[in-house]
Amino acid sequence: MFTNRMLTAAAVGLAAWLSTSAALAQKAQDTLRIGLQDPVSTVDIVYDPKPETSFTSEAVFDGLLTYVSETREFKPELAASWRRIDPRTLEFSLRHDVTFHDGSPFTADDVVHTINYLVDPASKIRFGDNWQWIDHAEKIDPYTVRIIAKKPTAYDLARLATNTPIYPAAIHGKLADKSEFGRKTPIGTGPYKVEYVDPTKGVMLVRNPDYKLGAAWRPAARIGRIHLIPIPDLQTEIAQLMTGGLDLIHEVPKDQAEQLAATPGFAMTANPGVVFYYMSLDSVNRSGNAALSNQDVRKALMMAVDRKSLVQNVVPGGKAVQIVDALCVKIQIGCEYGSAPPSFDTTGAKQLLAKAGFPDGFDAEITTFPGAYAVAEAVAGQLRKIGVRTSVDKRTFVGYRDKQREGKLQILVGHWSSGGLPDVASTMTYYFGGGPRDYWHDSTIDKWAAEAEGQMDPAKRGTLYRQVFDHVNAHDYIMPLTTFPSILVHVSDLVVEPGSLSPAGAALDMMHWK
Amino acid sequence: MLRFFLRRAVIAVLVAITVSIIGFSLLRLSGDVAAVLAGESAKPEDIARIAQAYGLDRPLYVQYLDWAWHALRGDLGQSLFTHEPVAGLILDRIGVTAILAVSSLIFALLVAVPLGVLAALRANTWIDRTALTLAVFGQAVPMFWFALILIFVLGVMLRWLPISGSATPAHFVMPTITLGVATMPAFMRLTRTGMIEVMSSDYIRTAWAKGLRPASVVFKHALRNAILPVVSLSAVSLGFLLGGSVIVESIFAVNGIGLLAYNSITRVDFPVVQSILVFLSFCYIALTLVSDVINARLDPRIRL
Repeated sequence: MFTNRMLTAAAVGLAAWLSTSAALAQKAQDTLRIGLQDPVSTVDIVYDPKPETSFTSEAVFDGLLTYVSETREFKPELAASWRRIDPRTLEFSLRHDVTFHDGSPFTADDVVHTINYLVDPASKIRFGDNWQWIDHAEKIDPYTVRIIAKKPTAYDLARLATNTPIYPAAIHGKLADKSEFGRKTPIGTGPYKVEYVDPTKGVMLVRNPDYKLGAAWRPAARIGRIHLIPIPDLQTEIAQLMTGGLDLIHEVPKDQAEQLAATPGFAMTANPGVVFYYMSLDSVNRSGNAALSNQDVRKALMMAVDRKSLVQNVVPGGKAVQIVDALCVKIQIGCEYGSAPPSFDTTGAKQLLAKAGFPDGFDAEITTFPGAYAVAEAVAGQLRKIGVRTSVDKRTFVGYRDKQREGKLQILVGHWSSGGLPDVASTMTYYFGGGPRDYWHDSTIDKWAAEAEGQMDPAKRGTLYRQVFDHVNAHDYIMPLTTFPSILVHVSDLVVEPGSLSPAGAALDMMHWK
Repeated sequence: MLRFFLRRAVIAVLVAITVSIIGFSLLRLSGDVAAVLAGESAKPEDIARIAQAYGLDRPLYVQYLDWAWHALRGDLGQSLFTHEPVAGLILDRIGVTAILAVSSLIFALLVAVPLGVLAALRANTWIDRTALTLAVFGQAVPMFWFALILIFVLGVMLRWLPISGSATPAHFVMPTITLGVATMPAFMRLTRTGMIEVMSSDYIRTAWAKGLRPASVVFKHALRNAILPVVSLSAVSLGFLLGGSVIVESIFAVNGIGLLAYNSITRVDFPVVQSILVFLSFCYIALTLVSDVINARLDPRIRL
């Protein structure tokens, strides 16, 4: 890794005098080339849910509606409008002027087919639980559909606005193997059409000249062609960026992103999104570290964590990195709270630790998983300053999940994406509810969270979540740390507009040349 | 000879079965695949649903026997993530990996054999020591580091070669050099040792005494005998190159089996990793069998 960094540093230095004319040439050709460390084998996010696929899926497919984070509002895409018939039923009036990329008209049949396919237990969909709250969809007339939930579900619009592409029923319905759709016949209504999906060459998207929506929150394509190229190695991606072989890369570590951004011809865009870092503490002694059951100990650990230092020195993203005071990000629905974790105070932390019966500290293990290694190391260093002898167990996702289920997580430093949902509902089921992730077993939280999930009055729902988040802070269960922005490094001729909640950190329709 | 071949073939089959069982078990022990598939926010009931849908809730031996039965009929299953047939994924990429492996082998032989001959003819001189230093370098240098150095020099600084991809022959040059340099030392040492041994043998002394030209003595009489072990080692090395290109293919984004393995390992795409593991093991076992047969053909004592 050290060698890689040195190579990058040297290469970035060279880039200052190497010409960036190749990148300029790409602007002239109106082709944006994006490097992907994880290749995209299907453009359909339902079949391969990961950040890279969200690039393509959001460009090729429209949903019924979308969520605009700046105003915390839902805005229409394929639906012209919607209304709530009763707590279980949403009715959508669809646009009449939309056609699929093959020229066929978009109607209620497509929505009904897609939703009923997604909720069918026989459909082999990995993240099928995203739609399990839906009972079924039904057609009222050619441009009106109703979606009926199994029970009142307050986050229904948020879920429909997230990663729910609408398929053409005539094409998708005929396929015996639905997974082929995103690889072989990816027809959507979105601002970009698919030219090809090739395991070697990548994915080529071209502007959809017939795109009708063109609203500020869902603009028409402004770049002629977008080529997503699979390059698994970050150093190779950086070399390609510097030599004009790529125009944009993502998931770049802090030091390398800052070095590249300081080089003439390149820029960095950090998108805050809804992902945040946290430190959770086992309060019910599932892991066998009894010290953490003592609230004074948990509070002392939180007082030892300097979140400002994490913002300045560890987490990449510059001004996009913010300290988080509750288990949510302000742009999410239901992110209401009136408290904050304990302030940074090393002296006070040591005193509290002594008061709790640990004047000489104690042994503790921090577990972490990919994406949070650097933050976990920094937190471990900060805890050592108050005498807590911390070790860091860096796990893969699989290893971390196994350890979590086995109840062996003493301290976890991780990050949570809220499942990309602009609503805090998924955060409740993620942390609490008595499952393998629950290291707090607090029935009060479970009761409030369950009540909030079916509470259709936004004000009352907000109050319930405020109670949950303040309760978590009051009991020092989990310490929210900072936001985890998505980092994109790109040629300076490219503009990446902010605001996307995509796990990829940006939406292709929000990119354009200067 | 036939009896020897059959004996070795039976051993090869047993090794292949053992590899497939160990590989299957280790991959399953590496973590709960259903939990990974269900995603970070999945509830226990979601994980159970996924386990049932993908047949991961069955006993391990049933899963293995099911996989083996289908594999014997050419059905290696589907990728858990993309749902593509695994056999198709491997067949689509084997050509690229084979090109890279063969070109690397040829590169290694073209460098190693002349270098080994030269080192033997000039044993214990600066030429010999330089050749040995190069061999040590090839053996010791980490492949990923050497690959990045090549990218930096040939791709970024000089801009002579494309950095990543496998679209044109030029894309294979840097991966070939990287893999070839790592393969070359064994050939060089074997050639050198063989040549030193042969050059001191009686029939070479006779050749010199007959007044044959030096080129004829070295290449026609000495090298033909000294290089025989190199030929059998080449078969084994080809197996190593087929399976050992994971790092090189991922750095240079060469879309071969190595890159497929890398992507599948990072995602815990169990059926793909299992099939690649078995496929490469079979290649290695088959090439080792070929090597054994060549050796036995060349040296009858081995057949005893």
